[in-house]
Amino acid sequence: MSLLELKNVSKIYGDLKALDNVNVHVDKGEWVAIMGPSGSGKSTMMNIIGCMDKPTLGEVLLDGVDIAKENSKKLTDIRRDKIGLIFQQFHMVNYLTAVENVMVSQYYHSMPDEQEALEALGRVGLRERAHHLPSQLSGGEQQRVCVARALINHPELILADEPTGNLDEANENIVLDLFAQLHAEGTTLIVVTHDPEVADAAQRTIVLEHGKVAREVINEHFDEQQKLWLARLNAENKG
Amino acid sequence: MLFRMIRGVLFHQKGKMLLIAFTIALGASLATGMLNVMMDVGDKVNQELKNYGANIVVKPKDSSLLADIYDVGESGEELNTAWLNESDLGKIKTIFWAFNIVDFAPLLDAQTELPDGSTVKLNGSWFNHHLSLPTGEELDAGVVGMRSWWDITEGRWLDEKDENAGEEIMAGATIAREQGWKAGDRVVLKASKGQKTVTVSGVYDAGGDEDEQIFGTLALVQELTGREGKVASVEVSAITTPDNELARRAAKNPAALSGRDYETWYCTAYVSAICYQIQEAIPGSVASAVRKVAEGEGAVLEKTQLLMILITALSLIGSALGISNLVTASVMERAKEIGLLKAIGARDHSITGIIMTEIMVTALLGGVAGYFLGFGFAQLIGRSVFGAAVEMKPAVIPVVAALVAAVTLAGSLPAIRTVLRLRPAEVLHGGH
Amino acid sequence: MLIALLSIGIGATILAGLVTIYVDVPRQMGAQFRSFGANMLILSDDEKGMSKDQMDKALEGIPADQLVGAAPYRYIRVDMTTRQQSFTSAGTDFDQITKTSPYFSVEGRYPENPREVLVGKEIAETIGIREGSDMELTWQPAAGNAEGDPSEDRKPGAVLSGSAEGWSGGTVYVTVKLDDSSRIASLTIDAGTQTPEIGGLAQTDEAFSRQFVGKTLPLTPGEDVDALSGATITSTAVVEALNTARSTQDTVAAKTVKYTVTGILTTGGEEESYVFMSLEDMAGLTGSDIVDVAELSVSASAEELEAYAEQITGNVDGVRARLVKRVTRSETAVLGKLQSLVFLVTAVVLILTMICVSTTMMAVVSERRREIGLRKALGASDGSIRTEFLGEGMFLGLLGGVLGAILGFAFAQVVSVNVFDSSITFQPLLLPAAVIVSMGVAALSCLQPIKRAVAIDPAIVLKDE
Repeated sequence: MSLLELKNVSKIYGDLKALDNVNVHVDKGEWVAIMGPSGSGKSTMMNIIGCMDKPTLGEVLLDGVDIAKENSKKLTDIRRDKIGLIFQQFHMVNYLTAVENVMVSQYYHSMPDEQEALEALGRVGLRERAHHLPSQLSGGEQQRVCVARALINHPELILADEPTGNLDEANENIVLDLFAQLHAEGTTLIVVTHDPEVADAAQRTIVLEHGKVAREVINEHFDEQQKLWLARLNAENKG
Repeated sequence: MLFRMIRGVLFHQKGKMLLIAFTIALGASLATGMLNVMMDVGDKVNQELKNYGANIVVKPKDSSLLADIYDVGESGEELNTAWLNESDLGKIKTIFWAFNIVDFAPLLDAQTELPDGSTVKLNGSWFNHHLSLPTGEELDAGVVGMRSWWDITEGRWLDEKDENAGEEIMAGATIAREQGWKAGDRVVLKASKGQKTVTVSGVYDAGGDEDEQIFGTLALVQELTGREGKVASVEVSAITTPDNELARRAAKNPAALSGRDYETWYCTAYVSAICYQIQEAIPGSVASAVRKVAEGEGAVLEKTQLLMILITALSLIGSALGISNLVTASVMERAKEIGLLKAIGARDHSITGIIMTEIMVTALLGGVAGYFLGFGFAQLIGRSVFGAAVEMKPAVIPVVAALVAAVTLAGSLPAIRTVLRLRPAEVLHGGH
Repeated sequence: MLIALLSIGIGATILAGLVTIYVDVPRQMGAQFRSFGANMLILSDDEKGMSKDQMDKALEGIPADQLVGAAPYRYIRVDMTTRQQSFTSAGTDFDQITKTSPYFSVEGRYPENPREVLVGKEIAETIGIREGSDMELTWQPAAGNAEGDPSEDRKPGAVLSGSAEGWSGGTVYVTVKLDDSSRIASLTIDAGTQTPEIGGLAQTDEAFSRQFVGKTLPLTPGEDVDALSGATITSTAVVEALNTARSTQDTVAAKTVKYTVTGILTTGGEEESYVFMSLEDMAGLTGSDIVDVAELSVSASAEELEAYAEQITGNVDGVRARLVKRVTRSETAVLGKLQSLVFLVTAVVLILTMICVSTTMMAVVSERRREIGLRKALGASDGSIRTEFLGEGMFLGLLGGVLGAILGFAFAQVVSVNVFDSSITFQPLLLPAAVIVSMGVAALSCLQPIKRAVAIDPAIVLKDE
């Protein structure tokens, strides 16, 4: 079932076409990667999907609703209810602790619940660092807090912009594991990246070049990868 | 959650918040200090102006004229057919504006003859006459206060507490020089109803025609002229409010004022109102303003207050601009954070609310600290310049509070609005 | 940048404005104190008074821009025969009075034409005179030679005049002509100020007058002369006047002139018992235009006033200058306080404002830590960064300082015009001073934050959001 559809979407700045007549389709529960070099338009597409920007032309259907037509206020609501955002530059409120940063996201959705927030932190392996300030966390840890924040409200769609761009390999694996977990739970994942390894973790990769969809690549090995990951997880849990 | 966020800002952004609070404190202290001084300066300057002496003179209603400036002629003793009673003098301190009566001195004069045949005008008055009023106020009234510009070149002031006070005189520099008097000399004075030998307690330099006269106690002159219990006129030094249109109309004819106007006039310390009240208190008297002093006081007071108001206005504007400037800067600086909250899903009004609350709490802390600091500045100024504490004017608190609140709002709201209008995308994405 | 500039600009405005006001306050407020009236007197050494020339010469000692007004005064005794009153008349220059005694309150108007007078309130009330009324005033000269013995003048054919105090303070005047044997040939008695039905008869009662003829001076009342019945005092006065009569050769004749009252004067002081006329009218009445005293209103500091007084007393013959202590003493005291007040206020405001500017500058520079870190990461040396930022700070100081100085002057001018109705005296030195101070404050407040920013490891700065 379709969750997200971009129909003939263009974003034009004067002479520049950041996105040029793009058509994209994402089903519920899919794990899609959007890849492309710098200037290919992937950030723009991410902004539009994340309701942080509006296209110049075309329709953007999120769960059947054309978010291109909505006003800023409504977009905020949609963003809040349906989408979890993970940025490359792990934006945290630097005067709130880890758990408080997660709770902020809860607060704007429904109600802050410290227990739930602590559990979310637990999922990303940061339960013990719950009361630390961002300045006291490493880059990887900050990113993981952002992930926890993104999924605390059980969004339908997780939108991640270069989630591992600033992380070392160990932290990158942790994040990808999380994504695998989310996928297993049925969350739709759209990951924007320029890293082929990260793209390979997804089911399908949409490649952008100069604002156009160049090609789509299906990951043949996806099901295998999932099985392997599950096995490893079981082993870890037992051990 | 809100509380946690606010607490988070205040505790973990201490440095930044402190800077803002500090600047607000400075601005608030400036405003407080200036406002306090401005409101009090009128009273202080008024007190200083009392140096000029009497601004009101009280005479018997039926007295006729006399007394010249440059000593061209005779004294009033033959022509005055009406007198005021010495016993009525205390009533001056019972009028509505009793508190504004700073000093007063009765006068009774006589032409006295000296041994060498020349005549000299003898003025009888109080010097440091102690009054214990039913209100509990203690006051020393008389020439000592009313002639602040006299220099005592020899000897000392006549002291009424001295048991010999009634047999002493003070001599003006000119007459003392002509007669060769020194402090301690004894002089025989002859007047219409007797003569007396008095001692010169001191010599004064008045810089005016009083240098050619002598001063003694009221009792002395009453004795020498057989006018016990009588007084020819009273000089009064009162703290007054400068005249305005209402005061001038009232001075011409109080009875012509409307009920409300009359109350306003009566209950304001205009010279005309105080004169009117003195006339009510002392039977058979007429009190008038010594225009020379009263008008002069009015001019100086008015200009001083106007000047202070304008300086205060400048300071307030400067203060306001400084605070709003910094507040705007601090909001702009939080653009990323605001963008993030918006990206997470916060609504505009919610974000505005949080930021505003944080700023207002900071402003409150800064404002309170600033108020006390400013009050301290006011005291510093008051004590250094006037040697007296500046009165705490409660009206200053709401004014400063309103100013800080208004300025903080004016500095932050537009800035928040501007930042909120920015798309989160612009704010959050740096460096792709 | 704008914020920093604004902050500096505000500081400089306040600096320039307040300092200008402070420097100008003594002059401006000093002028207000002239409302209290004359602060200097010029008196004649001679009892007879000083000439207009002497007065003018004395006035030369005072700079024209400081001389607010100079009112000459001459005081004489005049009689209003129709009301048996005598009082003091002051001859003066009414234009100058409005400047030296601005507190005079006149109902009606000041005299502008010849034979017009201004009457003090006490006189007006006592004798019931109003605006527009007529007043007949008589001036009698004092006896010609005060020195010597009256008997010296009793020569054959001499015309003598004398006066003595009669009833109720009024004066009785006599003029007597001596015959060849120095005996009284004829006499006229002016007893106009005496009670008409009693003493006044001395003037008209022929029998009374006739008894003097043929007698030799001095006379003894009761012996040589019979008093008018019921008018002993007046009669005694007539005799005394005769006995003290002096030669009229040097004296001027008495004169009576009718004047119109154009206004009633209220002051609450002694002036209310005078009749004021122009010096010209007084000269017309008395035959001379000497001046007893000049009241001066001078806008200058106490030290300057004393210097002027000393100089006038020393340099101009026949006059001496004296300060009116009551006015100058009080003015010094109050003006001194006011200046202290403005000074302290200026100081406090300036300090606070400069601190404010400092903190703002510090905040602005701290804000640019990322930028500094970035530059360092790109290879800029600490020194070059310091120089660049300091330079920027000082440039802002310059710009803000100039702007502020101009605005500050404008503000001071607004204050001066609205409060004192006059312009400020422009202080040219203040412009560079304001700019230098602004640049100094800007630079100094930048120093610390730049130093700190440069010291931090760029990596930390760049990582931090």
